[in-house]
Amino acid sequence: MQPDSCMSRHPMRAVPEALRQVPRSINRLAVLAAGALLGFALAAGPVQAQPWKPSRTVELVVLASPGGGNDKAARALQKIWADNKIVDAVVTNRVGGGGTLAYTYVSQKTGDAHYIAIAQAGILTNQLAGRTNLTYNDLTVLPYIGTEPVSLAVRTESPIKTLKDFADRLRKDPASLTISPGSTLASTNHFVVALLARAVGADPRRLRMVTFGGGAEAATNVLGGHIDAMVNASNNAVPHMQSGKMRILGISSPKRSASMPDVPTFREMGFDVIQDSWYVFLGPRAMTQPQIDFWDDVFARTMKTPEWKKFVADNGWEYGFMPSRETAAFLKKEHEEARSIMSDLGALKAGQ
Amino acid sequence: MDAFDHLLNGFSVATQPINLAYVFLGCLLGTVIGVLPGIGPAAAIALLLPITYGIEPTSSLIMLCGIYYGAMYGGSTTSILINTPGESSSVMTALDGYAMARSGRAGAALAISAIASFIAGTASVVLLSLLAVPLAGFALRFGPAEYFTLMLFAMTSVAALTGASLAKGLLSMFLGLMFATIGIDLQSGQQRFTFDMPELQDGIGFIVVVVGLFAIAEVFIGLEDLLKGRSEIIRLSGSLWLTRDEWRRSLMPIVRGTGIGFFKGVLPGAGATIATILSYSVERMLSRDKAKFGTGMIEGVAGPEAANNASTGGAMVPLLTLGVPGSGSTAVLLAAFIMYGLQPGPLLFEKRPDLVWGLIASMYIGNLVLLILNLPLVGVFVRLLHIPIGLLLPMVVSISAIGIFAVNGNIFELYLALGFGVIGYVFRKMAIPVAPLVLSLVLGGMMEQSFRQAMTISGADPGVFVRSPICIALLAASALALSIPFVAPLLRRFGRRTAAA
Repeated sequence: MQPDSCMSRHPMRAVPEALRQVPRSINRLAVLAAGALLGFALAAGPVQAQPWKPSRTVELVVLASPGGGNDKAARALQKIWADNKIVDAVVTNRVGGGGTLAYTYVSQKTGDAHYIAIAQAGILTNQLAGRTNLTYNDLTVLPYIGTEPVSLAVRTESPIKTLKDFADRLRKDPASLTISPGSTLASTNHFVVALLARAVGADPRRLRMVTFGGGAEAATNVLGGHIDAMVNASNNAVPHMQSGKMRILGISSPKRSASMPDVPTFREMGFDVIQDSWYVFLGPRAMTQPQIDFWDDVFARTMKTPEWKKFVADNGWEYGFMPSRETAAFLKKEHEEARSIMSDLGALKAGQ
Repeated sequence: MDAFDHLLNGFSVATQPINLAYVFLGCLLGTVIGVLPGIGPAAAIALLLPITYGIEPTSSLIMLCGIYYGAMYGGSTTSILINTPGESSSVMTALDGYAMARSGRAGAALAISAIASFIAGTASVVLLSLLAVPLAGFALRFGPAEYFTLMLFAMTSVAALTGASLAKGLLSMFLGLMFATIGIDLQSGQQRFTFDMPELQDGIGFIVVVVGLFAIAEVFIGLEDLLKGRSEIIRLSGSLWLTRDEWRRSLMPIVRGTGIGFFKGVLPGAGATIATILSYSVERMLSRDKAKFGTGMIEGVAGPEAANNASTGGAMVPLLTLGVPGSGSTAVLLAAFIMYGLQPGPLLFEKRPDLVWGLIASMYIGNLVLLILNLPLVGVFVRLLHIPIGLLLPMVVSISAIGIFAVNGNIFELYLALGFGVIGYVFRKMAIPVAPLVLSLVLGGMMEQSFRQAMTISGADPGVFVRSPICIALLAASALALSIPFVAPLLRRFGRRTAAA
C-alpha cells in the first residue's frame, strides 16, 4: 500500500520510484520552457513560473495517533480547508519512530506537493540524538503555523513559590528537584529546564528528570506530590491552575500568553530562557517555487480565518505565522540551539 | 443539592428525545467498534470528533461516552466466538469464553457477558454517582512506587496462568517481558533492540500482538484443519440461554469483577486490561476447580467481562473530577471536552451540573440500551459459527488487517502481526499458553518504567517501595498470592493431621 516507506530498507524498490520521477521532471522542464518561450514571445517583463495548484486530494500526514498531539491541529486545519474550500485534503496518521516514519514517508514523495507533514522539534532532535539520519534538509520547509507556550508548574502546596525559588534550588543542587518533561528526554520541554540550569550555572546533566507516558500522567504525579515540578505544553497545567491545584512559575515564551496573562515569562523574571514548542509544515524534497508559493498562500489565508483563531484560543496556542523562507531560517537557528543544549545534556550522538 | 437531586436533574437532560437518540447511536457504534479487532474506542472517538463539532456539547459527549463503554460490550463477542479479542481488555474473556464456545455453550457465554456487562456497567455508574467526589483524591495517591507494587501484584496473577507446565508458562511470560523492552526507553531516551528500524522505536503495539497471537494464529490452525479435512464445526448444545447452574456460578464473579473493575478504573493507566487480569486470577484463586480454568469455566467469562465494563465507570471519576485521563480512550474524551471549551474538574461540577449529571444519567440509559441491543444479538452472532470456515478465515484476516492499519497507517505492523501469528501457531502446536506473553507484555513495560521512575525520584533508595501503606498492602498481597499454592496444601495436611489426632 505504501512501498515507498520501506525504501530505506529495500534499495531495490527505490529504483522504479526514481525512474518515475524522470518523466515528471522532463514534463516540468517542458512546462517551464514553454512558459519561458511564451514570456519571450509576449516580451512581458520578467519570466514567471506557472502557479501550481493541487490536481487531486492532498495528504496531510500526522505523526501521532488519531486524537493525540498534533493530530488535533491537523484535523482542525483539514476542516477549515474543507469548509472554506481552500484545499481538498485528508489526514493520515503514520505513527512511529517519534515522527521519523511520517517525515520519511513525505520526504520520499520527491517533488510532489500533494504530501505535507506537520512537524515539531522532533525533526531536529531525533537526528541529533542519533535515532535517524533524516534531517529537515531532506524535506522542503513550509510555513510555521504557531506555537504552544511551555510552562513550569508545581503543585499549590509546594514550598517553591516563584521561579526564583526554583532557580535557587537548581543552583544549590540541580539534583534536588524531581522534574518531569512529559514523555521525552532531550525534548523542547527538557531544554527549558536545561537552559534554566545553564542560566544559573548549574550542570544540566545532573538534573533529575522523570519521564512519564505523557503530560497528563506527569500532571497527576505533580498533583499527588510524587514529583516536584513538570515542564510541558501549558494546556497540561492551565486547567489545574484555574482550579487552584497548581501554580505556574513561568512560561518560556518571549512574551506573556493571552490564555494566562498573569503568568510571567522566564525573561521577565531575569532568566534568559526562550524555548517554544512550535509547529511547522514540511513537504517532500525538491519542491518547486510555485509549489512552495501555493502552500505559503494557503497557510497565510488559513491563519486569517475565524475558525483558526478559535482553535488557537481554545487550545492555548500562540498565534504566529512565518512563510516558508523565514521558517527555513528559523529551523536552521533552532537546529544550532538544539545541538548546543543537547551537547550540554550529553544527549548528542557523537559526530552530529 | 445532594447527588440524588443532581442525578434526577441529570435524567431530565438525558431523557430528552435528542439525547436518547445520541445515547443509542453511541452505544450502537461502540458495539460495532468493539466487535472489530484492532480499531479501539480511542481511535474511533478521535475520528468522529471533527464530525460532532456542530452538535450541542451535552449530546455529543453523551454519544462519545456511549462509544467508549459500548466498545467494552462488543469486545467479548469475537473473543468468545472466534478466539479473536477485539481489544486488549477482552483477552481474558477469550481464555474460557472460546473454550465454552467449543463445547457448545457459545450462547451462554455471550449471554453472560452481556448480562455481566450490564450489571457491572450499571453498578459502576451508581458508584460513580455516589463516590465521584470523595474518590477524586484517591487516584492521586498512586505514584510510581504504588504503581510498581500494583504491577507486581498483577504479575503474580499472570504467573498463576502458566497452566499445566510451569516451564512453558514461564517461557511465554519471559518472552512477553523481553518484547516489552523493545523501543526507546523513556527514562534514558536510548533505543533498545530496535535494530535501527524506526518502526520499532515506539515499541511493539499491544493490539498488534493480540491480533497476531490470537486471530492470525487461529486462522493458521483453521487453515491446517481445513487442508487436512478435519475441520470441526462448532455445534451449539442446549439452549442459547444460561442454565440455572451457570447463573449461580456467575453471580459472585460478577460482583467481585465489578468491584475490582471500578477501583482499577479510578486509577489512571491501563485500567480495563489489568482489571480483567486481576478479576480472572481472583476467580481462579477462589475456585475449587482451579485446574479447570481455561477449559470453559463461566466464572472466567463473567468476572473479567464485569471488570472491564465496571472500569469505564471508574475511569470517569478522575476524568470528570480532576481532568486527568487514565487511558488512551479517556484522553480522547478529555480532548472532546476541551474542544467544547469545557474543562473537566471540580469546577465543571459547579459550573455545568446539567452537563456532568446529564452525562452520568445517560450512562444508566446507555447500559440498558446496550443490554437490549446485545441480548437479541446473541442469536445473530452465534450464526457466525455457521459461516463456512473457508469464508470465515479470510474475513478474520481482512478485518484484523484493516483494524491494525487504520490506527497507525503502518504497514510494518501488518508484518509484525503476521510474525506473531506464526509464533501463536507454534505455541498452540507445542501447547505453550499465549496469555502470559500478552499480559506480561502489557505489565512488563509499565512495571519497569514505574520501578525506574520510583528509583529516580527516591535517589536510588529502594525503601521507597515500603514507605506508603498502599505499597505495603500490595506487597503483602503479592507475597500471599505467591505463597498460597505452597502453603495451602501444607495447611490442609496440618488440618487433616490435627483432625486425626
